[in-house]
Amino acid sequence: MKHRLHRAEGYLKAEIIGEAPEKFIRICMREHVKIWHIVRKNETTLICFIKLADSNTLKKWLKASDCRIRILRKAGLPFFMKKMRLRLGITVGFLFFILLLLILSNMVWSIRVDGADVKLEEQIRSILKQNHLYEGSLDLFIPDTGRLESALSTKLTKVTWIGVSKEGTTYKISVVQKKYPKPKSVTGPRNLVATKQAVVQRLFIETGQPVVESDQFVKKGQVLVSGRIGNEKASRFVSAKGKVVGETWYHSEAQIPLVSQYTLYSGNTYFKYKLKMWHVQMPLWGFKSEPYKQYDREIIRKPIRFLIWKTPFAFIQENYRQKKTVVRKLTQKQAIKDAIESSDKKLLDSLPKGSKIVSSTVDYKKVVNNSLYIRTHQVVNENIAVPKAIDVKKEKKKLKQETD
Amino acid sequence: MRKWSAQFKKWFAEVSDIPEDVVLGVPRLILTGQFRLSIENYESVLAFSKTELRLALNKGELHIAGDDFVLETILEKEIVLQGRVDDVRFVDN
Repeated sequence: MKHRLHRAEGYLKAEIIGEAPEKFIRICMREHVKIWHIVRKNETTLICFIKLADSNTLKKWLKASDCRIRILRKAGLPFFMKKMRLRLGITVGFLFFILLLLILSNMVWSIRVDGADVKLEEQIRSILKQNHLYEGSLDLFIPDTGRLESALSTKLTKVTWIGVSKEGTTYKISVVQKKYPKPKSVTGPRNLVATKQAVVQRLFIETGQPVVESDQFVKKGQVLVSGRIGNEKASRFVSAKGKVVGETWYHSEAQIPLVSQYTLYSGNTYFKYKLKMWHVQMPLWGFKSEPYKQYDREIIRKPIRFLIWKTPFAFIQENYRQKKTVVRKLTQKQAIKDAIESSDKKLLDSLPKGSKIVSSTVDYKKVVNNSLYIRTHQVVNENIAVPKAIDVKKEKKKLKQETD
Repeated sequence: MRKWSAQFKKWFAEVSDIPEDVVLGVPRLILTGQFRLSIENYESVLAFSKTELRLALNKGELHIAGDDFVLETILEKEIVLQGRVDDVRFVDN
């Protein structure tokens, strides 16, 4: 037990040989050099443990006491270090090997993409590369699979479902691509009819016979452009084609709070990195306990693998995103503007492409409990024509009856 | 004169409750069983062998006889001896 105390400093087990080895002990005592576990071997020899001292001074003391020293054993850290220094090459090589193995064990070796065509696969791989996932990247810096999935599915529109799974050093990406049905087009004889009540504004007709005029009020389902051309005696049916812009009206209601609270991310992020060993977490970087007053915390855990085994070590990244509560106060004028803007946008989203809001007017407004109720109506110009197939036989019969 | 001061020290130790070895500078021996002997307030090691240890005290010598002696610890003021202790003797010279 005693020896262990001196391990850090280093000690010798030595034989002191001389006429009066006790003299050496006395000198050691005088010079305050630790010496312990002394055993007499024979008349001229003592075996003892002695703390490591400068070899020159040791020699001086030996000379003064007429003794010789024979070192039996060298122990302790200084000798160990010396030995290590001699074997530095091997040690460094071994450590390097372990490190290399560790790095290789935590590397992504392959990414398999199933169910995607070549073009989509290329796209997927480029998105993954933006998220630090590529063949040869380190696992520690890759976001978790759920996050990858959402990153992929937000950027890829041609995909119905995407799944990311991890098997050891392989990432598997399964894709189900959207299959669109071929757009069905009525190519046979057809009319164009109104989709909704409107006042016709302009007609752009490629083929067909217009049956309505500008500024005419039309009901839903009314024929706008007839597919029957020619006079009553000699008529034929064509596929009517064209656009009819009608003026339509919409009502919308909105409620906008005049005072509202938002939580916003300020954009400041604080990163903490930790190394988890069994149940102990050792911080590596980022030592503030509470970086922000208000924050959202996200923890990413990455277990460190070694070959096929999971080590009890894990790399933990904690992201603290600063939050801010913002109070927004609106004047009535601003609130009305906002309400109109938002209702216009909502309306346009529900209407076919190419529609235009001509005007929006406020019908009614009222402030109750710090929030504004508003009713507006919009005048919209939109294409109201949709094709509708003509039953040729029926029409012909009808025609016959008319002519008869 | 010297005798008088020794007398005074002895009296002082008795009166003041301070341990005598501190005041007088005399050795203090602690013998544990027969196998371990700790000696405080010694001067130096005169001789050491498997069967005998001779210590110089500030007055006289201490001879310890026995067998299988090992000097477990040597400090400036204290020495610990292990082994079988048969005989402890104070020798005046």
